[in-house]
Amino acid sequence: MQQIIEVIKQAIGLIPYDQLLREFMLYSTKEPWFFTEFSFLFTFGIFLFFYALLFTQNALRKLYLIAFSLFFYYKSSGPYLLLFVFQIVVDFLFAKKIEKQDGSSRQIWATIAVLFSLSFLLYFKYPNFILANTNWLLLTHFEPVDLFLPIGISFYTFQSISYIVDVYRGEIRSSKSFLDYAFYMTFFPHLVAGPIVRAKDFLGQINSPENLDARRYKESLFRIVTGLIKKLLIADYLGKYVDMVFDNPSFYTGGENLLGALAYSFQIYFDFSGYSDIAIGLALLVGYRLKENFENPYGASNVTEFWRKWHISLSSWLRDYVYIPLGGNRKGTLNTYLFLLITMLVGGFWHGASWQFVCWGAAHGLALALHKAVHKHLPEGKWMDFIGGVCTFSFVTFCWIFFRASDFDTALLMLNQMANATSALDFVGFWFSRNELAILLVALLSWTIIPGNWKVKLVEWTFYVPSFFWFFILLAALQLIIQFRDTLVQPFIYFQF
Amino acid sequence: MKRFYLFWAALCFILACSGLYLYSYIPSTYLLADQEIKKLFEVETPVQKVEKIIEAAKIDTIPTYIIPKDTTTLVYSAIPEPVLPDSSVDDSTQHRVLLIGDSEAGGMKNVLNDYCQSNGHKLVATVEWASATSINFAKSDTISKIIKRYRPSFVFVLFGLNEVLAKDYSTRKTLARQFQKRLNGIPYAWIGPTNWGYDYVVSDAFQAAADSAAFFSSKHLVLPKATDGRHPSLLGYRIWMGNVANWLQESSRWKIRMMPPERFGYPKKYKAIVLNAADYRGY
Repeated sequence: MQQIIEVIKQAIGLIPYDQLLREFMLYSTKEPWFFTEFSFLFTFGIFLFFYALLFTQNALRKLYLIAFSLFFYYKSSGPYLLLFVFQIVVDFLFAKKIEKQDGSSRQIWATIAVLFSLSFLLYFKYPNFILANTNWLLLTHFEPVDLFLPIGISFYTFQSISYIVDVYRGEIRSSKSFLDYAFYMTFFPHLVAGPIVRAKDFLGQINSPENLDARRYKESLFRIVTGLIKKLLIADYLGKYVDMVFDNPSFYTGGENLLGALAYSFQIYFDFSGYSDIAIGLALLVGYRLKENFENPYGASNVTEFWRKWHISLSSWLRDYVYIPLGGNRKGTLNTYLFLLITMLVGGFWHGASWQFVCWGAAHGLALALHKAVHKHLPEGKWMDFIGGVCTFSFVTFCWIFFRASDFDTALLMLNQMANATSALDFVGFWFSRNELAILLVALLSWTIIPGNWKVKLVEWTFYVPSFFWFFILLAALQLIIQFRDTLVQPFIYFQF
Repeated sequence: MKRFYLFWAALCFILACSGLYLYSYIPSTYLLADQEIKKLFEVETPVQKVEKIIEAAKIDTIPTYIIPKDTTTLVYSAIPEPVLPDSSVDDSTQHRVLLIGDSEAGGMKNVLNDYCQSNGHKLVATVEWASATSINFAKSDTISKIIKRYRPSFVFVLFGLNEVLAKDYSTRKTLARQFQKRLNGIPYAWIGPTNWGYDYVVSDAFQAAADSAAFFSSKHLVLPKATDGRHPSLLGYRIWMGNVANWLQESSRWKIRMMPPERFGYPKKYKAIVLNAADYRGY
């Protein structure tokens, strides 16, 4: 025992506190402060301790949480924090103004407010896309601009638009308190990569956070632990193979390209759903419930169902603020298909300023329209669901190729390899040469087939584990991650959007 | 009592993370079921100590006069017979190969190029860092940048000749481990330096730092020497590579196809990066 104490004392003596604190206070736009950073998890623990002390002091608690959220944003975006705060202030004032207006002036103010929010997104995200296409169309020679994309701008812009539009429609009252609105916009679990939280779902919770009981405590730790494992162990491991194949598709056989695309399907799912799990878990700990963002999407039996289960906060946002305002299914069959296509084009464009994303969105829009046209004529039953599930998963994986590839040529090269250079031997070779990866892919495919409600039951069983024991589960999970993770953690895929 | 779980959750994060941080600062490493319990990060050796190691490394550099002259009875004089690839070797895998090492890597690069081209792999680049030791490879981020630039799918590592007289096992192991992290999970074959009779700890330290079975110890090989008395001759490199190739196909951690080339002297299409530790130490 004496020896252990000596070793710990020695280790404590070696810690360079000054250096650690100095590094901690600096921001880095190149290395954002992820939820997966151990420094974040440690800081969050300290934050939570004082949050517990302030829990009953509502105003102080809110201020404290906003300050932590702003610090979290500062660590990733530095001076762009000021821009973010400016946007929050202006949106808050716009909403107040809109609420007081009637008729056409209300509409004009709402339009101005939406354009104001969108202008930041357009300015930071799309200038090079516009310049490149202008050069191509008009044979001009504008140089691309070097702009930093503030992290999370796509997500918080959509949040502020939903707030403005909901106030304009009269679905919610504008927030009376600036503190509440700032709390909603800056809430760190959803700040940088969603889920896109609606004001009508969240503003009501702000002043009455739920107390953390045993069940919520277990649920939140479970979500955080599974999220970390999904991201750091599964997604990053798959990412190594995905990067190799997508960087040089011609170096690999058709079968390996096919498996590269399959691996990416799982990588993006485990990456983003892992992030969402951590965000939901963190929010639960501080007393708030964010809506689920994924519900077993690869188990969907058709593309419409897939979009009800994949990135739910974005798909429902697009439905409520693009598809339905366009006319939804109220303006005839052909228009419905057109609106679906437009909605998914917006969705594709939201992901990034590139024709590949537009193409990806268009493919999904067309698939949604096609499914809407034929679904009534299709037979029903479990086998049809299964066949539909296989077709949907294959289609989604096919579309991911365009989403992930660095350009169209690479995507087409991959497809060419798959079509012309695939043989059964590729898969045998893959099994033997990349045995661990092959086993993981088979396991993930099997996991996809398991019905969603079975998984929910499986999760329920974990809640029988005593509260005290969850500390050891957290510790074991963190050590497991250290043991097997990559040396360099890849950024969350959705951070770039 | 109402806030008990909030406090407890906070303590869970604080205690778990600080425990893992603290473990990283403990100089020793512990085992669990024969597996090393890895640390969150490796604490860098303080600067003063590094300077000491550099001094030691200068002395370590093998002086020609102590290389035994009469090794003829031990010399491996022919390229070994090839072994057939293990059943787990996937013939279709075409790797982007990167070779990293000291001057011995410089001698090995053309032979490796022949093996790569003959087996469908592509040697994309070679890093020949003359006079470099594990200190350079561990401390410098040059290697990380080169890996990022060339994105290899397989890396050959070959250094250690300049430090075969070193006796500081734990330091060499720590340095080798720091270098191994720079490989960032890419499959690799780590070849130990040739042994002229004076390899005290280097091969063992490197072997302990490398992933199990990813290290090829060259201690048992005594190769024909070049006229400088310090490096293997061309035939020596071919014999050496023949042994490495057999090991790669038969028992390496990451097996790849490496049958003997149909001929030697394939065109050199790789990028050769040449550095010298005397004027570029890299950190």
